[in-house]
Amino acid sequence: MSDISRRSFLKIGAAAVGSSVVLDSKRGLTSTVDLVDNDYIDAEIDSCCQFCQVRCTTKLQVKNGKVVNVYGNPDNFWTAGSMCPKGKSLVETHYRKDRLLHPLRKTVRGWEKISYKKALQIVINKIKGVREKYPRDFAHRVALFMPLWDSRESELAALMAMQMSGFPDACSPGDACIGSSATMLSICLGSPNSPTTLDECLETENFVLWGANIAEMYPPYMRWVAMAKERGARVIFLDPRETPTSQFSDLHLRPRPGTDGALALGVANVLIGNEMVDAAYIKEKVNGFETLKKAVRPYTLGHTAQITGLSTQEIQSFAQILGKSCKTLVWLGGSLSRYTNSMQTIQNIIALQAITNNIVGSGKGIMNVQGGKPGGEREFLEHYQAPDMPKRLNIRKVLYNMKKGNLDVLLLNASYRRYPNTNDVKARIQNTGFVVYRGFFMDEEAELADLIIPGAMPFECEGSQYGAQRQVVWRRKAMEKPGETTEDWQFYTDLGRALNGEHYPDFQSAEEIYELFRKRVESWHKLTLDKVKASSTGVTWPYPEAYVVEKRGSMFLEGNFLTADGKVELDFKPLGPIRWYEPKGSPKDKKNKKATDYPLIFIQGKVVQHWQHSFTNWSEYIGKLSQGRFVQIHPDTAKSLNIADKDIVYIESIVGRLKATAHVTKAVLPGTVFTPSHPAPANKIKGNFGQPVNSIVPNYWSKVSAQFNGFGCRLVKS
Amino acid sequence: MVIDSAKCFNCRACIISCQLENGVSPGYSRNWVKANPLEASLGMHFQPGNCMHCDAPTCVEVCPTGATYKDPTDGTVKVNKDLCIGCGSCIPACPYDARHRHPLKKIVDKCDYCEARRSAGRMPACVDTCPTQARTFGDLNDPGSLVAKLLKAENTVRVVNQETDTDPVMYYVDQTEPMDWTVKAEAPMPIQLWRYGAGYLVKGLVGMSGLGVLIMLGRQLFVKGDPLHSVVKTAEKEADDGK
Repeated sequence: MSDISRRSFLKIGAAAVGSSVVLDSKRGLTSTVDLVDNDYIDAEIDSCCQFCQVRCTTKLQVKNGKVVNVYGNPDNFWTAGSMCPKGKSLVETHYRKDRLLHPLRKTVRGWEKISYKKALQIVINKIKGVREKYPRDFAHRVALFMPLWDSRESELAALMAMQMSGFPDACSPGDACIGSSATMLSICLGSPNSPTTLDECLETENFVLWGANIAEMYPPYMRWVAMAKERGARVIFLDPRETPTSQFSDLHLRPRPGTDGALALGVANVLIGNEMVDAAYIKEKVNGFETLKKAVRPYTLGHTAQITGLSTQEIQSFAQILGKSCKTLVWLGGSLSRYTNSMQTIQNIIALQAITNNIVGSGKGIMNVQGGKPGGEREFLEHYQAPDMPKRLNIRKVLYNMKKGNLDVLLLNASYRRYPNTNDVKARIQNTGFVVYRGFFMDEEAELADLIIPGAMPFECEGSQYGAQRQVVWRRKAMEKPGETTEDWQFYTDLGRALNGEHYPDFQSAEEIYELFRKRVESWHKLTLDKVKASSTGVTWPYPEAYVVEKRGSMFLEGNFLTADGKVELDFKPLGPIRWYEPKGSPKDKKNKKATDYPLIFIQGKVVQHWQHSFTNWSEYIGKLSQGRFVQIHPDTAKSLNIADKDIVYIESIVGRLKATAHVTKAVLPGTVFTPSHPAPANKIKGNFGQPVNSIVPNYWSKVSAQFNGFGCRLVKS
Repeated sequence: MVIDSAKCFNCRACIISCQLENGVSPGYSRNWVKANPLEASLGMHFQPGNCMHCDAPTCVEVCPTGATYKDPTDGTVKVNKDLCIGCGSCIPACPYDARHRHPLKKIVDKCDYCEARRSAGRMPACVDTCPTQARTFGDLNDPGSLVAKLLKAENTVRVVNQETDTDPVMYYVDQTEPMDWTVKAEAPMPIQLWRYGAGYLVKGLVGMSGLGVLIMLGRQLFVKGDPLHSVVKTAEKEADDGK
């Protein structure tokens, strides 16, 4: 027997117990890094969240070369250091064990790991092959689905690579869902950008959140809503649903989904009829008032009430509030853009603000969070395109090309599930020659790809991003990227140079791309990197040479709009008459032959924990705060269908069905159902899991964007 | 802490901020947001909360090792990591369900108002991240602090368990809902046995042992000769003699 002393035996025993505890502590972790535990932090790096357009600036806490915590930058003017769960979840997602770290090529034996260099060469060869095979008409045979995740510079690099190579079809998310508001702001006011900034709410009398569920969409902005209230503003919330934003409102109007445009016309009718409009301002600054006057006549109180489901008193009262005040700020919610009648709806709301002289001035204006993107991109990109490049196709034509088998290479940089009738889009992608996916996880897109070239995540790369207040912020790199992941700007620079040789700039950093852009675009001249990097809030665009200081507030100096004659344009002939009509597929539409079969109105939306249906779904933390696929049903509707709370039901439309848990609640109107947008099937995290919502959304489009809400559906008990 | 629950809109940034700051695993939490049903009289209303750092904490009472204690310097109820054996006795003893056993560290975890942040001069993570500043943190004994001023200026209520009043140090401005979610504080069976049975038994045994020692000592001091000692000595002598 070996001569182990009693003391040595105890030491070995203690070590064994200790190590088993350590090993056990790693069990069950989804991430490969331990989160911070009140321990010493090596460094704090300035960064920003890449999800919504609030664009919270943040501080990343780094320990042993890894980001272990994130908190909001307390010096940010817009957020004051607040954040929401989405941005917080990034810490976990960076370290997930199932994150893709190396390029993968699809083979008959499954996925084969290859080097970045080899993967890049495959893409180059594919695209060169297309140009060689179709020397005269290759332009629409290669397409890019944007956006890119890591920075604005990456988008620029990608667009340059596409355009310089003669491929115009870069499809932005705005093509599908947010095009209406930006388009109508362009038509009516001459600029797609948000006409004013949020701080105007502190000076306003009426803060109208029109279809804008701020509490769940942009939580850090709720402090502004609360501050506006404290300073005496009346908060008016228009949303068919009761949401956490409701509790902050003084008046909550719940029009039937898709009828906001009719409500605006009804209110305009009251205002015009009672001479509660600013006649002098209209004469000086508004085109098309007479057309509007005629258009509103049919929208009497009774007729408007019948359409919207509101009472005549509610409409009258809303009109009186707007008419009696000279300071109204309207926040155009993204939900308004989700209907086929959205262009008319937004035009009608802009008209309301125009005739009451509420577009420019202290405490006045229109906010469009989704149109906060600073301008100058088109101006810049004109310098970088093949001379004979044809015009860009809209997404519907690109999808048509895919269906016909005419798309040879798709650079898939975003979720295809953002489009209506998702299963049909999936089939079209499968009908595409070669699909290159730039993503982070083995998600629905990755499964469709022939080649995956994984991207670097936000903490691993630097670059600028923009926010809803037209502010530009800079994110610093906080840690090294793992494996063979690459920043998007690097990938597209590599691609651009391979396809265009020396014509494509040899970018070595995102900073170089930023500086090239800034120097080329006049409205960016004074947005220097030093200024942007030094700011904890971001610097407001535009900032041309002519400005002495940065300017927030209205886009329109001296009240001059950027339209041809400097006036608000309400009579834009190509759009057709000023009017309202039912969204396509609505069960209330008399022309809808399927109305009896699908009698309930469908609406979807984001919940506070989630952004879109991709990134946040990969967070366990978020999953534990989420409820997966549920459907809100009014008690009256539930009773008529014999559905009880927590029952499993199917939401069925003319194109598909979704399994969901019934939430019986008065938060939705009778005859209307709501389900969240985010759940996705690839992640197996309970709370985040579910079939894509857009798989039951029929393929209805307006002139500029798709419809996601307002069509008919039915509920069937499982 | 003073909470204005009317300002809370259930974004739950406070929950995930706390989790990240303090290494709390997904699905566990040091803090919470309670929601009342939409149909209730108050409408949509949310109630943020965390350990109430009670002045009569039942969790401290049941801790067998003294790991859980009320820190007299800052008034918080804390867990001494080195003393906690992870027995979990304190978990059901809290009427607010403010404690959990950390799945990786195997000891009890709870809110300490982000002690590390506070010592660096910052507010607890849940306070800093809240968009509407629903949570206000500070020293209630300092009349100049914001919490003390709020407490003086506003009507406040506390969420108190009817069966176990732990004297919580958490105030809600005006009114809050729900009020009926707390649970009866329970001491686990081993702790009860310890307190009401085994405790006395062990104490008795220890007392008897002590008495035995005293008796032995007395004998050594006051009784001449030791019969046992004599027997041993005789045996040793016989062995030496080769008997």
